[in-house]
Formats: sequence, structure tokens, C-alpha cells
Amino acid sequence: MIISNEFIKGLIKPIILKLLEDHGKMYGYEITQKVEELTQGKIKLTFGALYPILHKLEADGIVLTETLMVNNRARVYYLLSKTGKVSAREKIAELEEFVRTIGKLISPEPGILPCTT
Amino acid sequence: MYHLNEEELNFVRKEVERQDIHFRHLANDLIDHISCEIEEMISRGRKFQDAYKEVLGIIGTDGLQDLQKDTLYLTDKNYRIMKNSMKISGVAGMALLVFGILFKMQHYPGGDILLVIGFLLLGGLFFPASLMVMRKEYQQLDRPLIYITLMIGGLAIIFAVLLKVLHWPGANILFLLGYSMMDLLFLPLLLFSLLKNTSDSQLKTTYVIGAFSLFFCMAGGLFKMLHYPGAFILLIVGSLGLTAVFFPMYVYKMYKASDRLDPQFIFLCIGMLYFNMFNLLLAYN
Repeated sequence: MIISNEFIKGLIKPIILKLLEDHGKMYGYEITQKVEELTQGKIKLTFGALYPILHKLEADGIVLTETLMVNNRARVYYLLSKTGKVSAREKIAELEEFVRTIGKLISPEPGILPCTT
Repeated sequence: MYHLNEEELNFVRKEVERQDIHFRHLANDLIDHISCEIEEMISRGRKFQDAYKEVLGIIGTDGLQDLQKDTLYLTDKNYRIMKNSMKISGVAGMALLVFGILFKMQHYPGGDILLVIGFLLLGGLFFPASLMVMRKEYQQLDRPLIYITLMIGGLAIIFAVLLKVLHWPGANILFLLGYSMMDLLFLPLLLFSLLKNTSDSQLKTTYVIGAFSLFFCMAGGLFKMLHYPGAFILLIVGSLGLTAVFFPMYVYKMYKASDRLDPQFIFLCIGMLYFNMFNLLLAYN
């Protein structure tokens, strides 16, 4: 089952930051492939969703870019800046907390329910 | 893993160029991304043309242009403000104009006020904001003077219409200023800029015919407003040039360039229809 874009929308930023933290520098296509590989195809990042966020991160100084010539074309690599590394850790911690909270909400731990009558 | 050759890469570059992608290094991002997608498909046994068509199908006709707009919206605060102002003032201005005309026709009080506020919103906010948004989105027309002359000419015509509707003095001077600015400065500048950006001789001819037809239409409009002789012939020649010559040539060139019709084609048809209706009504009035 592919996870709908509606759920993924707000999570793209921390997902990108986590991947950049783990793999150093990455280019756009590589990011989409890595996400697909790690989620067994359940999350597909389209480039329509990816590049606006990457450019926003760059404009905010969270990521830096490096352009290299690969196979006769310019390839732009993205990597975390110094401030980006701090911001990435915060965003990832926030994402982990969010996943835990949603988990509790969806499948609450078994316990004694209060009497309602 | 297969790697695209120079000829195949040029196909990809041409598509990104066609959609006027100019924001920072977004064009490089997209050329590389699309090329990687195609290379992946070719490695799995597809032919270049099939893979290229499939990727373009996924992108959509104006997908890259929309992506650039989304990127601008996220990263550029001024663009965001202008885009929102354009949307709000456009809707509010048009609504006020419609109610103003309705009130005026029914002789209800307040029609004049509604018209004045509507025109002020459209002329003072919507029109300048639209031009600024357009300048950010399409950088092929890179000369600021094009936008300045269009802004002054357009504002003069908008406010001339307001003064004319309310029977206030000064309308004719504003019409003269607006139409002269459009005909003598904006159109030549636009034409030179378009000619500079294309090497296709047929497209150059199309642009020249379009510019001359618009010149005749606007000159006809001015002559009509000022009750000069020759307005009828100018308007008819301009409208015929636009509809019967420029429009088919332009649509054919666009179709040949991308092998498909842009969804905006329908808006172009509607715009053309309204423009010609207005011209013909003006000519026969």
C-alpha cells in the first residue's frame, strides 16, 4: 500500500534532513530513490514535492549545494550546513516524537477503562 | 547503467528551457533528475523516445513551470505577498465592478463609489501585482522597461475607462497617454525582446504579424475614443490580422514545438474571442 501524499506532505523536510544526516551529500534523484528503497516503495517522493522543499532549505541556510559535472550534465548535490546539522537533529527528534504520539493515539496501550455509568 | 548521449540530453534540456525554468539551479536539478529517470527506464529495456514520453507524461504539460512557481512561493517572500495580493484584489476588484455596473444600470445609489473602489483595486493593486508576479515567473522577457511601459500604459487606460464611465474630465488625455505608451513603446520593446530570444524565422514572422495587428487594434481603439476618422478600418485590420493570421500561425508553431497543445490553449481561445468581440463592437458602434 502506497502512503498517500496527504500524510507525507508535512514530513518531507525531516525525511530529507534525516537522509542528508545519514548519507552526507545527496542529489535530488538519489533522495527519491533512497526514500523508495528504505520504505519498500510505500513512500514515493515526486520531484514536484522534493525540489521546492530542497530550495527552501537552501534559502534558509540549512543545506548547502555543490555542483559537479556527471555524465555531461551538471549535478547539484545537497549537504547539511553547520546550522543545518543542529536543525536536522531537532527536526528528526520532533518527527520521532510525532510518530510515537500518533502510535499511542492509533493503538493505545491496554489498560482499565474508566467506568462511564 | 545506460548514460544519455549528448543528443538525448539536448531533448531534455529543450523541454526544461521550453518551460522557462530559471530559478537558481532548479534547471540543473530538473535536467539531471529527468535524465536519471530516463536512464533508469532505458536500463530496464525501454527505448529513449518511449521513456522520454513517459517521463513527460508524468511531469504534465506545465508541470515544471508549476514546480518553479511552488518553489518561488516557498522561498521568495515578496513573490508570496504579490501573489496573494493579486488573488485577493483581483476577486474583490472584479466583484466591486460587477456590482458597480449593476447599481449604475438600476440607478441605485452607491454605483459610482463601487466603480471607483473596484477600479482602484484593479489598477492600484491587482495590475501592478500581476506584472511583478509575471516578471518573477517568466524571465524570457528580461527588460524592465517592458514592464514599466506596460504598467504606465495599462494604468492610464484603466483609469481613463473609469473617468469615461463616470463622465469625469481627463479621460481623453489618459486614453491618449495609455494607448500611445502601449503602441509606441511597449509593443516595439516586446517585439524586439521576443525576436532576440528566438532563432526560428517562422516564429519571428508570427511575432511581427501579432505585434502589427495589436498595434492596429490599439490605434483603432484610441481613434474611436477620440472620434478621429479611420478607427473602423484600423480595428477591422487589427482583428483580422490577430484572428486569421497570427492566431493559427502561433498555435501551429506551439504545437510543432512540443507535439501537444498546452491546456492554456483554451484560455487563449476565450481571450481572443473576447478581444475580438470588443474590437468589433467598438468598430461598428
